[in-house]
Amino acid sequence: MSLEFDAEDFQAFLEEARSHLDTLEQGLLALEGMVGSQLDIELLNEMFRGAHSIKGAAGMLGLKTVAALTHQMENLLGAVRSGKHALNERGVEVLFESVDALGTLLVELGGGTVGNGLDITPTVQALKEILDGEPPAEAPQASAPPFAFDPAFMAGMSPKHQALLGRLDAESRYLYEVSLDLDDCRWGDEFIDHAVMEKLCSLGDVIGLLSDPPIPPHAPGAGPFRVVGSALFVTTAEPAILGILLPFTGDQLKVLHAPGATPSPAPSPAPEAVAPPATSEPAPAPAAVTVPKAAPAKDAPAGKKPAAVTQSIRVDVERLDLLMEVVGELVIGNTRLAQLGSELENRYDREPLVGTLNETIAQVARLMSELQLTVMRVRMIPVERVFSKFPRLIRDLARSMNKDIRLEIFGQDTELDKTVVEELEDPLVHLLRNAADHGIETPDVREAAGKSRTGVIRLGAHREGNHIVISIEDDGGGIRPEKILAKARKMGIATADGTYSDMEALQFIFHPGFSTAEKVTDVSGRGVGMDVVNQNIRKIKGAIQVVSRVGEGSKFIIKLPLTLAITKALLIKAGGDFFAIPLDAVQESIRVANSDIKTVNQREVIQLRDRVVPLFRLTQAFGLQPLPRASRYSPVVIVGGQNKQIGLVVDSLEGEQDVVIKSMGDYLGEIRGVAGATILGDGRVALILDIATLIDEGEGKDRHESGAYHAV
Amino acid sequence: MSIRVLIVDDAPFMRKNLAKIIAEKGWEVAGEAGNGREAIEQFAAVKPDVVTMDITMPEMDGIAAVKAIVGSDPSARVVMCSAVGQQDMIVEAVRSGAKDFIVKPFQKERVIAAIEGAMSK
Repeated sequence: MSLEFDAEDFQAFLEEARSHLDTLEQGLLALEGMVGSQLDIELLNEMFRGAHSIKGAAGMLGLKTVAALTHQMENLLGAVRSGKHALNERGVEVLFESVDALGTLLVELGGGTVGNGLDITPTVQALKEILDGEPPAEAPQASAPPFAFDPAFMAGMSPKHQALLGRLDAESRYLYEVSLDLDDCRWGDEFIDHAVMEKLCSLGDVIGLLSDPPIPPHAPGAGPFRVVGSALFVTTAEPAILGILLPFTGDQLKVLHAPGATPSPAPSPAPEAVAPPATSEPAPAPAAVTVPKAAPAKDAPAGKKPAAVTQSIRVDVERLDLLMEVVGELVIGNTRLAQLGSELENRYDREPLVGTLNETIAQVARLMSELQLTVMRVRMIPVERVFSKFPRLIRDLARSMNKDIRLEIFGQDTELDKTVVEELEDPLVHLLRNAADHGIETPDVREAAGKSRTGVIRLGAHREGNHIVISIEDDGGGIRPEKILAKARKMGIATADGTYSDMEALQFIFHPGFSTAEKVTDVSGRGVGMDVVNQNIRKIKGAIQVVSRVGEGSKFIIKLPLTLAITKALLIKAGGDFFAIPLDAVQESIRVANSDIKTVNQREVIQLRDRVVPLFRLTQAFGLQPLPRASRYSPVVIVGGQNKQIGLVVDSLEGEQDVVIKSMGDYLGEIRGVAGATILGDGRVALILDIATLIDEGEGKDRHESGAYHAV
Repeated sequence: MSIRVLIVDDAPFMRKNLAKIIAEKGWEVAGEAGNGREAIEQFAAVKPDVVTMDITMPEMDGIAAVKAIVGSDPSARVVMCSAVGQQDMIVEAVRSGAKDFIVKPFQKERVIAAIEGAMSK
């Protein structure tokens, strides 16, 4: 190969190949459901192109294993697409195997090996057998060739070529006899490496190539040889086309048979022309895989929505972080500018330039928020990126356990920060495995329990306030709280005499070292328990909870913060200091008469419509001096989600603002109730409140632990 | 003489490698397109000397694109990029006006020969 490739080319290939591999796998999952009915042509086209592209690029890079495998996949997919082969379950299974093999090869390649570790021969063979095994759905019946060949010549021909000669008319093919005199030939992988041979083999089938001097045995890379002789050549191309493409003089090409023409007298490919080259036939294999007459573009009606192919480039996350930071600073700078603008306006209200300045500042601010949004979106990716891997996982698990499981996915468009999405994969795999293994019962057990034989696992994502909630729900046997509690007591993580609600008991499964699998199966329960899931979720600042009903199923709920570096916040003042409340968490702000604040169970509460909302004084929480309050009213900001709300008692509301979240730095560490800090337009620092924690505190959880809060 | 080539292929990897061959030869990549529709637009916009045209592409394949391009400009020189197993498609493309074809995986010399050949056809 005269082309040279560097590591970058190779990486580019791997990335492309991986994305095609995804297409193939997703496609197969969809195809599996269509077996026996109408197949989705557009889907098949996309899969075919995927295999085809990998094959092409792998060929260029000299990755023969990958090319050979994808070649066969393409053949099978092509035959299915054109209706020449009816896909059955076995075919899908073998294609799945091929996708796996291909995945393994790509992983090996990514690791720097040459991709020879995995033996793909059985897979390639299986693909071939599927294609050859069944007669084509509507194959034109092979008949005797329209003219008589020397029987000995025909006998030495492969059945495929014999059939090809028998279908000349049915498939509108010409039969030529070509005379060749080719210098400097070499053996390629499949056929003779020579520009003319390459063309012949790409345009049709070369049958019974004869040469004097004889063609050396098939040996890729061996020294050059010369081919002087003749061959039969079957193609759909008429002489005029061959004239354009091949450097032949008129007498080198003889038409033995034209489609539809009356049988010509027996030609005489020299009688001694008996055997095709002894070792390997020069013609490429895919004679049976002629590309369908209907090209994809013709199938697709004009204006049809193109298949969703996302174009993307890879960017170092660090660069994105930097970009985000710079944009953040820019936002702060602009806020400061806006403040100066309004100060100027107050001071020089008759100066027209000040008006123009402020208009410009407002315009820049608009652009800035657009920029900010765009940059934020760059880091966000849909959870589909991980969710899409799960249908296959569940399918394989169900098969290996002889269960019927249907995975339902919703909310896959929900977007999350890229890092969070990536870190989410392992815990989700674990939870899904658990659901399939321990949750869903076998079909017989389910039937006996009056359920449908097919178990359902629902995986979903949605946004709830400033959180993303991911849930994994199964309709299996559920978790027995008493069993969990008994084990927790045995392990000493639950007190023997403590009373626990079922809900509380269930949460023990997240405790380190806890695993209740009664027997170790291949799937889960190998000691890596829910505590690892819990740790992983905590690492991305999330929280996990489980609810379960015996006999009805379990539901795991993962709550993840959006963790965006820039957020809209409500600025408030408490005890003379500024605080920022992420706007997502703010439900409303109200003015409460001091006389309406009641004390229940030593906690301050207010009645808000039909609910009692606990109050929380920031001055108290952070040890600040409350301002002497002359007013009979206090501003209260109601924060929280659907179920839990608390009211933050503040001194004053200071307006809405974009804030850039900065971590508190190592020396301050984590401060309960504080998510970070931000710098305001005038350079002052405001703490950003961590509402989720404050709500926990507000509910009285961990109150004793933290010690910082006193019941009033 | 520099030849201006429009590269049409849905695989960026392939486009990149063709571009490399063309650049090494001292020719010019006049444009790149990822499907047949883009190819038609690019052809009209950059007026290349030669188009290298992949066959299997999303949205609009290479055959349809050749038909449209040669239909709009009978002097257009299109070289098909085919793969093993696309015999009938190459024939159809040539019937529709393509000048030549190369076979993936490409060899540099054959790409160059095909482009030069198309220029003289």
